[in-house]
Amino acid sequence: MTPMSLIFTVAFVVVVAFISMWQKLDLERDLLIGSVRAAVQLIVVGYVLFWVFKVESWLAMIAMVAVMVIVATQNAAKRGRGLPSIHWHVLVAIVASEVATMGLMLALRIIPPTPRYVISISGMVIGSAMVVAGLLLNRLQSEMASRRGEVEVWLALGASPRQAAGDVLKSAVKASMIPSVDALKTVGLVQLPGMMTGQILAGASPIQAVHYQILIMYSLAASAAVCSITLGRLSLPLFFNRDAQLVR
Amino acid sequence: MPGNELFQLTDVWLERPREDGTMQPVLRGLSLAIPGDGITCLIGPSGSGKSTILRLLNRLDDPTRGQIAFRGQELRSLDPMRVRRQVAMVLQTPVMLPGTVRDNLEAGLRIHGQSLSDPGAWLERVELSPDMLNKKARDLSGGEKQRVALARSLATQPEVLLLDEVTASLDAASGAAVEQLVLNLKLPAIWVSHNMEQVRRVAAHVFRLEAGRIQEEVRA
Ligand SMILES: Nc1ncnc2c1ncn2[C@@H]1O[C@H](COP(=O)(O)OP(=O)(O)OP(=O)(O)O)[C@@H](O)[C@H]1O
Ligand SMILES: [Mg+2]
Repeated sequence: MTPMSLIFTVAFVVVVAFISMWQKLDLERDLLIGSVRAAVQLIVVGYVLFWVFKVESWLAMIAMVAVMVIVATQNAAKRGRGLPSIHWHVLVAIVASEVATMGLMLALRIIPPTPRYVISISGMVIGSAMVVAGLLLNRLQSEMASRRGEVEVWLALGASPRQAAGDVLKSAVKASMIPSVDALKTVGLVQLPGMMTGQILAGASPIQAVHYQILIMYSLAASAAVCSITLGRLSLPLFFNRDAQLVR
Repeated sequence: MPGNELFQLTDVWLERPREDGTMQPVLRGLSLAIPGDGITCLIGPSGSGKSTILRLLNRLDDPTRGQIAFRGQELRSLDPMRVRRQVAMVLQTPVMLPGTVRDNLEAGLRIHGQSLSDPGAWLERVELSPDMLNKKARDLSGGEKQRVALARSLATQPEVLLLDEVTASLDAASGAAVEQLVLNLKLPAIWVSHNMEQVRRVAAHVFRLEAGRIQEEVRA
């Protein structure tokens, strides 16, 4: 793509801005901020990646993954406002899913341990964990609110908080994973995932792109599962106090 | 006889947050000694705090202020999960757990890795047909749910019962059967009831609650 055609892509933003003003959606401000942020973030990341891939530094690679984890944690933890120390729980869950998926890929030598592979795939793994973490926190809170009576019946029968909220946790985990599972089922039929599209546009053979996409899809599903279960189990006790009373 | 009470509540206050953030005093300096023999009935107008007291005794909530002793021991110093196994509570609005009637009856024992030997017999005891065992519990009628909830609590073999209007949505015949079942258990019980006929039949002691305070001990 030439720099000129990159500039022309602004036309898309103008279209949205026009629709927003015409329909009084009041989105222009957010749209402007979002568009500028997207461009700046991506351009900066492009240059940083260019440098990291060139020097092949382990330290820089780890630093980049750490930044991704922290930003993802901040974002997902917003969905758990009102739960004490939820940031730490989200952090642990996202790190766990990154370590599990990336560890497995490196241990099985599915990908080489170079920044080019580790960083790009980590980005997707962590991104998926972030989305699932947000969904889980949302769902867990609403289920706990609407199923208080059920949880208290269990407590009154002498159940531990974990037993009492077991069914609630299960349905929250399940709900948070539905998008990941649906994505597995419809990939290629409904949408060509971003990474595959990017590779094909950049000139790679579709067959090659598909191989990587299969790897990505499986690892994203794994990362979603690890994140959802870890975070669910960690945050369940936050709804109870030390005396096994439902307090949130 | 002090020290012989099942529960001793001393100057118990409980405040609950209202929607607007202010606090509503629900129990206001309530003191009450519940004897260890027979059935103690709590009566009083709607909203006077009867259900709230039962929740405190089952430790689903703790008072904002004041002491509660269970058999002479500070309730807060006891393991709440143990207390709840000893002191079974049947809630005013029966909530069915997911699954079948059988799942519900077995719930209490399953928590502790035990199994219920004859769930059908528990249904018969509350005047329900054992055919109902495999029915989805949430499809039951209000009165059926109420009886399953009672059987579910009794199946855990508690030592003390907290009963909140457990016959409220039953017809006279099943109400009488449930009453007899509870009487036959010969367990100390605290029974919230609006039905004065019933209170006269079952109660050894009666307390009237009014606006979060014990108004008087009524002759049973
Ligand atoms: N979870 C809650 N949150 C806020 N207020 C509550 C809650 N539960 C009960 N209350 C309030 O506490 C007061 C006492 O309620 P409680 O359920 O103990 O009354 P009750 O004597 O059992 O009445 P009823 O005979 O209608 O069952 C009521 O004013 C009620 O609005
Ligand atoms: Mg009540």
